[in-house]
Amino acid sequence: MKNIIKNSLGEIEISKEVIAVLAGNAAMECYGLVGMVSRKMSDGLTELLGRENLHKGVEVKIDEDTLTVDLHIIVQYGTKIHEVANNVIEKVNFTLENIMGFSPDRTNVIIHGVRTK
Amino acid sequence: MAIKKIDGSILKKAIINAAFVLRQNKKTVDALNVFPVPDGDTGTNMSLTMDQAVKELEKISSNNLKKIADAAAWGSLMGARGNSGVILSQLFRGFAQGIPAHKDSITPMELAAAYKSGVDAAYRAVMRPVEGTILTVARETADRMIFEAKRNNNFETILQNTLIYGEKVLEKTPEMLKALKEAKVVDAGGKGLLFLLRGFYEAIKNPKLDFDFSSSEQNLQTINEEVRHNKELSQEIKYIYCTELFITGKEIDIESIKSELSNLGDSMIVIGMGELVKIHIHTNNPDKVLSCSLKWGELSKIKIDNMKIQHREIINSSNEDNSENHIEHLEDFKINKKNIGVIAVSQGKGLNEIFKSMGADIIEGGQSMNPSTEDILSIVEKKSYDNIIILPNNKNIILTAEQTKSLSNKNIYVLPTKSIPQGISALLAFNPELSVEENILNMKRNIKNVISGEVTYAVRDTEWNGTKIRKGDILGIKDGDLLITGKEKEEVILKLIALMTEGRQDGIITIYYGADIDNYSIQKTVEILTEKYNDFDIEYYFGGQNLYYYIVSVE
Repeated sequence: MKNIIKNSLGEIEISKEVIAVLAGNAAMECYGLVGMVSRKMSDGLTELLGRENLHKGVEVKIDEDTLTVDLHIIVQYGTKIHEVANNVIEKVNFTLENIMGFSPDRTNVIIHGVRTK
Repeated sequence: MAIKKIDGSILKKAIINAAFVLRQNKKTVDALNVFPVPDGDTGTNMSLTMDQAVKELEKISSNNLKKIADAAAWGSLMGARGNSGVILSQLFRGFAQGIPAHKDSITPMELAAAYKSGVDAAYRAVMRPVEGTILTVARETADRMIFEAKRNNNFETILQNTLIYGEKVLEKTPEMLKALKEAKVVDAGGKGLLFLLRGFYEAIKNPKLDFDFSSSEQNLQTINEEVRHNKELSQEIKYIYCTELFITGKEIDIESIKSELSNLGDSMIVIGMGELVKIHIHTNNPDKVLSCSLKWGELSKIKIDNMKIQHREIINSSNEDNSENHIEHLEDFKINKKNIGVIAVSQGKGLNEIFKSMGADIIEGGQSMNPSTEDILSIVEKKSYDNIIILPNNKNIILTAEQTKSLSNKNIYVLPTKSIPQGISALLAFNPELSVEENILNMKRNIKNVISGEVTYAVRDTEWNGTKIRKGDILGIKDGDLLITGKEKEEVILKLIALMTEGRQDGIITIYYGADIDNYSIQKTVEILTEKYNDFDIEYYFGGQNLYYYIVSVE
């Protein structure tokens, strides 16, 4: 699996949850991002997440050869959204690479809302 | 003489001069850039953002204060690049909102209040403000400006004191942000902001200041070697080239570009629609990015920057001229290109389009209408490529295709694809930049990963595994084996997909629906599938093929 680092003594596995928390925290520092929403939106409600459960706004998918991170975010009205999204992707990839030693193959940003206040 | 008021024309000049000073010093700012991502582009990004603001300012002839502030806000929003650029655009946005309407001139206090309003707006757009960045410097200088404006009413003194204070704040940024301390630098964005303030101050101090903005690209001061060295130690750039370009073409499939490019690097952005697509990616293989893009249409505004070199030549304000600078990249590319073409056997309007859009030439044919060796040969000979890969996409055509080998002088490789899905996924792996052998290997690997299914109907009565099949019954075929019979197309495709996805947790289900399927039924089928296969991505395309109601792939 993509989240396992092997060395001569054994394996290091980094769980999806850890990746989600790291990615969520990195994204939060990005300018223009004002919130993250829960990805479980079966009831059609978007739930603005507090700091503790940010990882809920991050969806991590892992298989044999790809690691995908989806970030469900809310941006501030009046910012250039695609530039903000671009910055989020760069920041998340850079941070994960630095902390874990590998970065996602795909980092997707899904913009769920625009905050106007 | 004390300057107590500034009007629209001075404000305009001051903003333009701010951009000018920043542009002159952008490389100094670039060299400081270690946060949030050490890619050495903060100064360039801020400068490009300001350039756009200046462009907007130069467009308006009015000296109305509000209009000028609005123009700067609009320009910086449109031109916003990078984190610092977006922050800058918010500062201007709030600033413009803070400028009182219907006034010919503003006092120092009003200017300070507008600046403060800009800072407030900038802080609103971030969830967790990181201290020790441009935000800190903006906030501190705005507070200081208000403080100074309360004590006296001379712009010159106020701005000068604010600037001096700002430098002090900047010096403290390494204490606030670990990344800066480790790299032994002050914050790049904060430095950039101070350059802007300095430009602003200089223009107000000296209203007769004369400068030529458009020709301001000058030789810049050498960057402190120590700073540069420290920075190189701290940065870890995995992909060296920041590659950007636009593709103009017809029916560009963004998804397939994405899947092709995603292995080449990171920070990938592919945006646009149909006829115009912008690509941005950090990669070590810009050549491959170009060759992939070329398949889709004409390229323009190609920009390849080496992110490791701080002293790089930065493509400046005149973005329009970029293509010229980079023509040589393209020429290189043409020479490198391996001379390989792909021909796919396809049937149905939609499928033909899909194959074409992926860069293959097509031969019409398929079940019950196999193309002859001659048909294939004539297409092979027409093509300018010396190496040709044929995707027969049907087991009955593989042999026919093989026969062309001995009849043509060209190097022909037949990849034994037995179904349309196999052909499509093989084509996804095709990369004109690689050698034929590498391509064949990659394409074969892709074929293995795909399960193909077909839904068709019985052309006559027959018996199969003890079951009687009547003419007109619906048949579900998985990888060439007839596994399901039924009366309803929808029922058979659902059962077939259930078989195809057996033992899998997730994946992509792609359906190419035939000429006899209407919009309503495909949408209904997809709806049912979406509900049932939660963890799968479900895609459907119009295939337009005859005989087969549905062609399905699972990978």
